[in-house]
Amino acid sequence: MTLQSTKTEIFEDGALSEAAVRKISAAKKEPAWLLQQRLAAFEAFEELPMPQLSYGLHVNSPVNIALNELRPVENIINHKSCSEGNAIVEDLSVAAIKYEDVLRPLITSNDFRNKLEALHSAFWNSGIFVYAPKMKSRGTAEHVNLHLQQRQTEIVAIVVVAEQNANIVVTESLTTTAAVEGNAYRIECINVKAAANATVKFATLQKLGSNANSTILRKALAEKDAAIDWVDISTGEGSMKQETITALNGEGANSTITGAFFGEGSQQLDILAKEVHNARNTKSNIRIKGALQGKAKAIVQSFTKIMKTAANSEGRQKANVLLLSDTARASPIPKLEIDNYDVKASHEAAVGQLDAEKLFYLMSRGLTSREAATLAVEGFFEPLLRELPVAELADEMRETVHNKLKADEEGLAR
Amino acid sequence: MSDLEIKNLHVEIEGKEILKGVNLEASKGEVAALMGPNGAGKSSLGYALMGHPNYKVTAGKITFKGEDITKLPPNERAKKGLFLSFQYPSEVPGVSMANFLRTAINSRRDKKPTSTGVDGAQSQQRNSANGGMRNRAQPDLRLGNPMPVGEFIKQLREKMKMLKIDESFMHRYLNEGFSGGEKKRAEILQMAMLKPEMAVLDETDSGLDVDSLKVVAEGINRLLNPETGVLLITHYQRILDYVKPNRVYIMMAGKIAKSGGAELVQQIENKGYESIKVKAQ
Repeated sequence: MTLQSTKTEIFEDGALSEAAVRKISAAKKEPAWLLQQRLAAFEAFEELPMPQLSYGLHVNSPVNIALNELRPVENIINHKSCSEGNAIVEDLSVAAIKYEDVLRPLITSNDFRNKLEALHSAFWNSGIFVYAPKMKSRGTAEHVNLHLQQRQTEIVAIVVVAEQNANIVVTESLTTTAAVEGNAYRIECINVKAAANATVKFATLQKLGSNANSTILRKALAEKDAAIDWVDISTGEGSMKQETITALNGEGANSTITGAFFGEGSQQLDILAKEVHNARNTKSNIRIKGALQGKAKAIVQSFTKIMKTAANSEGRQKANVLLLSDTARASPIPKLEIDNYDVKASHEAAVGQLDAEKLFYLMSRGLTSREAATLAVEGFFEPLLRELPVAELADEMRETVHNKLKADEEGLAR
Repeated sequence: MSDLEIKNLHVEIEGKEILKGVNLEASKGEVAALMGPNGAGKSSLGYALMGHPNYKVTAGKITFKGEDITKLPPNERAKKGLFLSFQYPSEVPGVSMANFLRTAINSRRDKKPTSTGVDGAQSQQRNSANGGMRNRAQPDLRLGNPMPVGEFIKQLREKMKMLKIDESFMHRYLNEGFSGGEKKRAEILQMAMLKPEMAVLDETDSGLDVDSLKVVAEGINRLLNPETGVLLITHYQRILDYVKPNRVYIMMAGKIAKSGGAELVQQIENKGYESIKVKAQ
């Protein structure tokens, strides 16, 4: 199932004001409770500080947002609903009326961590709701593909709810149109809830152009025996700050976060993957692999938190970054916070370069230095791609890696 | 004139001289054995022959089929028909054996200078600067368009069967998690697929049990033909019971201390390398 089409309306006043909040909500014909939520968020937005953008002593997030440039009212997008099988895709504002009992508790929140989260909650101008109703037992997966093409600055809210026993795969592919002028900023929040024994796979294929910097926050909560698998393939050309956070709230819940990125030029990437174990017998696994060439920089934080209440749980994390040039930089920050003795946890983080012995070995069989390096880099990603929970995206990554290495022929052949 | 000629080769690593004027010859259709005690420089010679960037040739030269290859990058040497079976092959995660071999075969078949990248362009220049050897620009008869997948798989299956390598290894990542013996067989499998004219086999017998040794030696024997020669680097005479050498070189302290026929192997077996050292002095 694929999201059908979008529509754009143009308004004049676009600044981040209370009037703008009301304008967006009115244009989207939202119910009163949703407008109230937006207004509450706007109040918080005015008071809260910007998010923490530095970690440790020397690592600063590269992604800065010029708030005065954001014009959410200029680009209000309404999504057409579609459904196939049991799953339903609906414009979030329309769904706020139809599915109030489901959405109201999920969306209503005053718990904003920072200015950016509040901004998002007040000003989102494009909203999508994916709903997988309750099933008698877990069946085969339903697929929802969201092709989101960005024209200008967008503030996007995606809510995915999988009720009991539901099984759904959501793939969003983010691209920019050729017509984008100036900077098209993207602020996106994805909110996933998997009820008891439900399975949700959510994959983001980020292919935004060089003038589209993005901040993407992906949050999920997993109830009893639910499974949430995040996949993130970042092959875009802009800078990006991305956070993926799963709360394992129900016994026996499990979650994986699998990420692959390729940065080049002066791209800057700031990635956080976090699994929070709140309940017994929960399992999580974080795997991130990335390669950087040119002057690209990346911060990769992986964070496993196991609470006192989460006995007999297991949390693993592994992050590897390959530097393909002398000017690329990476800072992996692995973090384990464990408040329970009865758990298994492991972490691994490494930054490396291509192994000269390996390249000599490959060249001794007739491969040019470039062919050898390309094969080694492709091989670096391959084990992760072979086990990608959403297998369809593996080829996208393979192709991107291949093409970007080809484009940087001289850099690799040094 | 032999196909492979090493003349007065001096090589250093990180400023330390390890080969001190090596002279050695080997030809297609023949087996030359290079023996010597640990640390004599045998493996260093193998690396230097293949063009390892850390092994700096400070004097002397290597010619292959009459052409000076001393300064060629490893891939150009490979394309001319040189092969090194590594004592400790690198593990290459994420690259399946089949994928790698097909890339290697097609890379060697591709003779267009524009698509071989920087290295190809340089060697072309070097060739014309040296003048002569015009025949090198002629495509090798075995080279051409990429090998069709079906043909490739058929050949790979055949060779794997010959070397008693399970077919599942085709899809396993190159050398990753292979046992010592499996790695050695995989090296000979690569040799069988790439069909070199001169294969340098570095300690291919080390770490093999008797059964594996027989399989590997039989494989080598079957690959020997008028168009393929072998330079067998070994510490022990064991493998030479199965692969009979035409000539034998004994290396001591970075030099060839003695050379001769197969009878030298027996002398080493009986009296050890010490007997050579005395004579050499």
